[in-house]
Amino acid sequence: MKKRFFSLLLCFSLLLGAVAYRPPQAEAVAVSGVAIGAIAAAVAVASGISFLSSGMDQTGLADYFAGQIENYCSSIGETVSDWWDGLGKDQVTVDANNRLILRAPAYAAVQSAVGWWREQNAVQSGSSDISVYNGGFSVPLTSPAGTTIKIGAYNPDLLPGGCTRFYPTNATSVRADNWFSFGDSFSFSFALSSSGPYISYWLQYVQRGATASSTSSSFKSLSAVEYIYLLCDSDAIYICTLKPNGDRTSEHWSFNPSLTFSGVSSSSLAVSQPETYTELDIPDDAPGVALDLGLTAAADVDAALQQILEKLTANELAGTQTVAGSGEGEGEDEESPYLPYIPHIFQKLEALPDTITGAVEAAFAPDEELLTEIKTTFADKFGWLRQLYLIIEDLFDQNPDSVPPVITVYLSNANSHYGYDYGGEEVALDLSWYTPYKQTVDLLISGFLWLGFLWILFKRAAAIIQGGEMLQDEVRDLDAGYIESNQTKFNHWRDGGFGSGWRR
Amino acid sequence: MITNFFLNPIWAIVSPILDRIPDISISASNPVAASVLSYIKAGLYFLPMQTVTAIFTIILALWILRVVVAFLHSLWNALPVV
Repeated sequence: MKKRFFSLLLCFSLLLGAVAYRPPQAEAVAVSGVAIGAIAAAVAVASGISFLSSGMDQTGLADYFAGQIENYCSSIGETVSDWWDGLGKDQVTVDANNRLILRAPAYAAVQSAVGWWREQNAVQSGSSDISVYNGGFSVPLTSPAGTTIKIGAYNPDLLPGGCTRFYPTNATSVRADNWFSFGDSFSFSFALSSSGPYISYWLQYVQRGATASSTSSSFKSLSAVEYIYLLCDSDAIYICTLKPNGDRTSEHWSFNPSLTFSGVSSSSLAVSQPETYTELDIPDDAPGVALDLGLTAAADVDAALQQILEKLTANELAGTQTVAGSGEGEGEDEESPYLPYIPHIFQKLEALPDTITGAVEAAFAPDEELLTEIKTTFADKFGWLRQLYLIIEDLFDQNPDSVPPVITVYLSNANSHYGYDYGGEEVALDLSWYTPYKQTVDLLISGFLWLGFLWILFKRAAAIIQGGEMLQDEVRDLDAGYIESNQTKFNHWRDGGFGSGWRR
Repeated sequence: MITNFFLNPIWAIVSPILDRIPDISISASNPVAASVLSYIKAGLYFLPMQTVTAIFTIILALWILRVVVAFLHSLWNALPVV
């Protein structure tokens, strides 16, 4: 009985191990760079930084901060996922007072990233209006009805005189995904960067209802070109660059009288640090740092980060930081000490399935190193199976349409009484003569093969359906006397010589 | 952890056995193998290989089916559930 329980335990654990095992790439937790960027912005603001954005939406700001976090992680030789996951789970929470709570490792790591970013942008005490992003500009356009513009493709032949190049210097992306009709107000934007060397642009225009151009092009930067210009005429809209021979003002965008430009707005992000940048020292017994950013009713961390981005977009993000457990709000908690823990209880209950899954994985998931060793060993020892498979595949891959095989012999190495080298490679047998008949003969042989196979299959159908041992049908035939055992054949051979064993 | 408890001793037994298997390499590019394979290929050219492949595939699938069912039978007999 013990053996049966042991086998049961063995099967159970191997089964759970197979279920719980996750390949390494599947274990990677999708860490949102945007979320970490928002956290970094919150930490920076609470530590003494002020942001002033102009013409930037939440996506643009989120992209900026996410990009900075990625750059920081690249500078320390890590990916964002590895960097953040290495800190541990549940590094950021929201308390009952809608404060963002960062555990000590997360706070220290984010402060390092912000410190790197401040150094990159020379942000110091007393700094004001340091431009850290000056990339996008949007061009709202209105035009007479009757013509359609699609932002998406580009044809350099269509460029009017005076606009001979389309080398958007340092442009890294363009956002224009939709059809726009003349008469509709639309906008598109370029994101400029001092480091982006490469861009693809699409501009397609439809002239009086017929597509006149649909060409895609990719361009690399050209150092002689500094500005990107948008040119329009009565039927089309062109994106091009001119050499820096004039001021970059809105006049450049409104030379075409048939289009009305309602304005050109630029997007930028500036930073100020009026006072000293403060980085808190966290005592060992403190749970972390509480960022009071004036958030309201943040149900979870995602909602809090969303509010942070909204405030950042509206230039209203401001806050303070205190060591969690020592702030003013902690006194309120002491009056009703259980209140802050209620959301945590719900969070834990919500995370209970994940917790159980994690525990099962931790208990049953096999060791990655051991599995890698097993896989490597089998791959090394039985790699020849792959080579064998390729050879067999080559042999079996013959049909009436394939090239007929040719047998050749190499006579250059032939050795005889008359010496060596009786020629090079000579054709011994060329089966191309059989090709005209192969299809018909194959059909005939196939018919007999299928008949024989199906007959054998029919005879053994019972054993196959039972799924019994592979010798079961043979044993049954032996018992029934339909076939002879090897011992009987041997006796026949011993008594009568070769061939007698097959006589019945 | 628990799976490792079973896998480690099994692998400790299997691994030394596998280590004794020499590294095998099969190559069809050397002249002798290429010559032999060309003769085999010429012989197989007279057979309807698509049909042969299909029949072999079915036979292989039936073998696998039998092995799986036999394994389940053995497992059922070993488990203390009946």
